Amino acid sequence: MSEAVAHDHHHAHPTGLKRWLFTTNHKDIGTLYLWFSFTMFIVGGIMALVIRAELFEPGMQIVKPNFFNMMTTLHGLIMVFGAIMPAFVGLANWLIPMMIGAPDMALPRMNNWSFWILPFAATLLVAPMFMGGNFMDGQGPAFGWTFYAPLSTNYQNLGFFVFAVHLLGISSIMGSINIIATILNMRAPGMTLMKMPLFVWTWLITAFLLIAVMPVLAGAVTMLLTDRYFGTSFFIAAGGGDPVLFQHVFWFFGHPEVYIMILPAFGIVSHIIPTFARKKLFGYSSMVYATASIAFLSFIVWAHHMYTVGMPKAGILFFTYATMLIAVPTGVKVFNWVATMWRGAMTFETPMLFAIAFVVLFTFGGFTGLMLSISTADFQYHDSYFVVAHFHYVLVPGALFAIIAGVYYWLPKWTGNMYSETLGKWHFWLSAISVNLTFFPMHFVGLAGMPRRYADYQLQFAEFNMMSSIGGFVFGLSQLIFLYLVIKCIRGGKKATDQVWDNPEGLEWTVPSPAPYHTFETPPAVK
Amino acid sequence: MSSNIMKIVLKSVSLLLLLTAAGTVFAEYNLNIPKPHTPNATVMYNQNMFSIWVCFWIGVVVFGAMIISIIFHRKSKGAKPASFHESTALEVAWTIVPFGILIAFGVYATSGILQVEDTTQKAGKITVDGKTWSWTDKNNKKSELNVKVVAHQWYWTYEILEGHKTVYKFDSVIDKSHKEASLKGKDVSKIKNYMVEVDKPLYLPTNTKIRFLITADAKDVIHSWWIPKLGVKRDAIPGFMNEAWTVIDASDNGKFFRGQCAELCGTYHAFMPIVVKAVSKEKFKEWLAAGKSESQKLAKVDWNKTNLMSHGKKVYEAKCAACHKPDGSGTPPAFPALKGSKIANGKAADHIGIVLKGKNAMPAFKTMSDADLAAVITYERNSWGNKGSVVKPADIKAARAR
Repeated sequence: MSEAVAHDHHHAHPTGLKRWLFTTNHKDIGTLYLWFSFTMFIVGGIMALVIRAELFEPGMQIVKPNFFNMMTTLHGLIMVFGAIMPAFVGLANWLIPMMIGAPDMALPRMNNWSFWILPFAATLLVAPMFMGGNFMDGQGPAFGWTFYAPLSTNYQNLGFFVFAVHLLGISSIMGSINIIATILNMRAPGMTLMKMPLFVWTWLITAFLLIAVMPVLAGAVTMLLTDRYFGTSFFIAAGGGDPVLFQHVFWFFGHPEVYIMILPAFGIVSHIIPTFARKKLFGYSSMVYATASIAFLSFIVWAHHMYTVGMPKAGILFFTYATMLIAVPTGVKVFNWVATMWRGAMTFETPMLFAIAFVVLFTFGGFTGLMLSISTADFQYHDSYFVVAHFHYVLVPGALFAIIAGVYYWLPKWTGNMYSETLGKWHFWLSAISVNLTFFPMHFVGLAGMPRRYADYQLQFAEFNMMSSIGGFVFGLSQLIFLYLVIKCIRGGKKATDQVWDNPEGLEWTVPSPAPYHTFETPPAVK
Repeated sequence: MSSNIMKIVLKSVSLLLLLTAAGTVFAEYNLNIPKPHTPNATVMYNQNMFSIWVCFWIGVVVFGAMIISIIFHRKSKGAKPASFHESTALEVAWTIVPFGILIAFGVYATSGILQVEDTTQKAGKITVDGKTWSWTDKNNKKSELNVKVVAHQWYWTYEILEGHKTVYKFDSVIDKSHKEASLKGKDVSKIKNYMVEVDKPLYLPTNTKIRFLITADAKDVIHSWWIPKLGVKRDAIPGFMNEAWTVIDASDNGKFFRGQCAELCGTYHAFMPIVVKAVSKEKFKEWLAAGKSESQKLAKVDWNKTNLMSHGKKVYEAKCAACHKPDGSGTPPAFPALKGSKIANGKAADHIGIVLKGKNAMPAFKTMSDADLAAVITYERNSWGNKGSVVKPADIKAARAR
């Protein structure tokens, strides 16, 4: 057991700030990613609460319309690029080497760099908020996280935004290259591709998606940049450009992007459910194929975000059919999870509770997704709160719950201590109830006709908006329990065993708890 | 602000109490797409219901299996885990069956798309769901009435077309009192049709096949023209002309249909509602004639300084006051003050140029009429202590030609 620790003498660890600045250790970098992600989650969350406070009742009481638009924009961008994506990369850093029996990531220095770009990118993104004298007149981006041209090309501080996105893209691409290089080259002998844990599989596919679409995003923002500052007219109709082209380019990135935020979540849940059902994952290989199919389909459905731009009939039909097809592999995954639970011997520790909530609420988000795929009906849903409800269901009780479930599941392995199950249950039940109180009423106001990104609204939507706001605040405050619980767990608690759970599958459970600084310096044997 | 927060806390507590007291409190509110009034809205409504029910039954099966499993297959009840972990037959089954359901979905969706997208309907009637809408079109044209919808930040311009010619054109702007109440944080709970009232609604004749031509000014941003009950939502995109069609039944005579801009278009995105009033064909003709003569009258006005100032004030409040403020103080730095500004007190040509072409965040206003522009520019140059020259409609015409 202490063999890995005993070998840990070849170089001295820097301590204090230097340890974190210069670290090339996958566990340290994973920790950095996770704390960065949590910080951004709080920042983006506060913005969400500003939105919910303003929408608490009709009339504008708290902020000005432009500040409101800035909040919706930055909330979206920060949650997508600052909270969800870095959280998955953090989990990948911690877990992939331990799951495949590798000593570290393949490219440790690049790993350090891809993390340390992020705080600068986030600063560039948020900085314009503090320009313009009076805080309430801040000049941050206010064109929606989708930054459609030509609204975005009119924005005076566009340069900040463009460089922030470029940096985020560089970070993601480097992270992905690292993950692919690690998975393809550093697996322990005997671990064939079809023996890889599902979290590794889903991340491998996600990394390819990232490498494919991040450059497209970079192209889109570069064209915005030249439109704004160098007199080109890619997207400006008055100069012969095409505003719809922007949407095609953006969503060619944007649709795979939403799967980038959910595929690793599928992986996490596929680890947790078997452990707590005490039964092997049902249909492992079909899970792999389904993930790959979803990834492929994600490239040919982008225009379903644009049904109302005036596409030709053939285009609308193609994107309708292609989008519906996604329901097939996604359904296979859900059925496999249910089949894993079926006739297991389940217990309901916090990770399992979050994982089950994930399956139920993500599936619900999938149902509304299927409804949105039907273009004719989408003419009513498009850009309404129905869409907001849909994507928050797949991203909050979807992606976010899976991340939280993963943190609970592996936290004892990371810290060597068990977390408080009582606090964990409080966190779960408060989150699960409030997340539904927040987002469920949005379906109703959306169907009844409330457009999204509205700073003020008709009186008929008042009650449901009030419910959403109350739910939002409860959800936000519940996350402080999580913060407290994690800090408490790091500082001490009941010692975790090496296995932590009841006979879980995977190499990460064969190393001591807490996992030593270096693991698998000699590769383990995989049967 | 702190009093607002107190108010919010108090209201939350009272709402929660109310919720626990009476579960039926929401009975009167809309939970679904509003009742459809046109063939296209009906198709959209039906497809919505169809997909809700299909999803509902899939949900019953999937969640039902989960719930049974959660209740019975738990360790605390002494369950022993089974060892099965794969079945090709099952995997094939739950790939094929959903695929079959999707084919039904696809066929149904296709019929809807073909109807909604076909703006060339000539049959004279259409029946959806047992209800028939008819129109009388002696000349068998694609459409009896063409209405051009032009989006601006942040209002709509409607043009009634005859052939290729615009015969009546007017701007439809949110009711000033609604916008003011909203932005000043006043109590809005008693305002009728709050946020969906305009100064001039668009009249549309019933039993008429209407085609909308939807676009935005070339230097503007993307908007979206959405009226839920008519089943129309189309993006208004600079440089593009999008089409949509509708027909309203005579039984809806006198009804108002309200909608809002659906595509984020900047600061006042929430403040550009759409109001359509359905009227009989005769009533529509009267309205159109009145509109035509009003615009002709406006063309004949003697544009002396008094008339320019009084008309200019109206235009300013509708189009400029949102950013430059009613007292000309602006919202610097994006929208500078006009009060005491160099431009408003300087050469008229520069002032006209900026209004026509736009500058930075300010859009171009060149689609406004010569008279409106002359009036508003004169108003800006002679209000709040400014001492600029008077601008006549002819000056605008000349500036456009340059």
